[in-house]
Amino acid sequence: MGKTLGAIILALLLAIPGISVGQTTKQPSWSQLTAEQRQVLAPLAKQWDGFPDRQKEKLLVVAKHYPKLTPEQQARIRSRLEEWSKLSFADRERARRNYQNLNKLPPEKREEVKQKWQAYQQFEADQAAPETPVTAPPPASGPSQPR
Amino acid sequence: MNEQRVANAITRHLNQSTRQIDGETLRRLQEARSEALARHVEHRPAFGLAWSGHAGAALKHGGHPGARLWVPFAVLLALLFALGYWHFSDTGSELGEIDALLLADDLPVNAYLDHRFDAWVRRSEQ
Repeated sequence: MGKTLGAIILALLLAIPGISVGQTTKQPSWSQLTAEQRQVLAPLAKQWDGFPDRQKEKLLVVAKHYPKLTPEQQARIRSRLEEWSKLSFADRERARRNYQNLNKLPPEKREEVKQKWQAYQQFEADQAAPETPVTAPPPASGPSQPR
Repeated sequence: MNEQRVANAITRHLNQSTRQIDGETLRRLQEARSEALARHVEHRPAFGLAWSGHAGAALKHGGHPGARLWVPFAVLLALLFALGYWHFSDTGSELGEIDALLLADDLPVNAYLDHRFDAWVRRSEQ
């Protein structure tokens, strides 16, 4: 009885850390993907087989959602996949966290942040241009205006 | 040696007495024996449930000294295992859904990573 119980407890103790380090099922290689998956994930064709299984798993979920999106959103995904896959694990985690935080805001506030991103981009571009140094801060809110 | 003779005499006497028992008494004795044997078999637990049955009995009667500790411990471990499995098997799918939405968003990925943008937004809100 004691030996059986000991074996059960030992098996559970060994299994829990195995789960917590994020073991996942074996994910398919590039050649095993369906034609649809390969089409969506085409920007990652060369890197795919070198990705860890957990990264593949998430990218396959992206490919699964892809057909439900608008053509514009699909184009964004395709253009961003490579850059996304090159980010470090920590950066991807931070981006997800910030995205979720932004989506917790009310719609008008979210829209305001998006407009500020446009203004900020303009501000950065102006700062980078040597012939037109910008010293004044950009507008506090609202859509960016051409300068 | 004397004891042996006495024992043999008792055995002989008992055997003779047994042969003199009437049919009804013999039948009742036989029934009682069968019943006792049946009860004995029922109390032997099945292989798979042997340890849990003992554990339950031990918990109930306080018989096994370690049972009060290891049974809740084993249940807790099993729960942790199930929770861990459920959580981590679902995480990949959840994160993949977030990734799909993030990558399709009208804000580029850089916006969610740019510390200066974050600081700039906060400054402009003051």
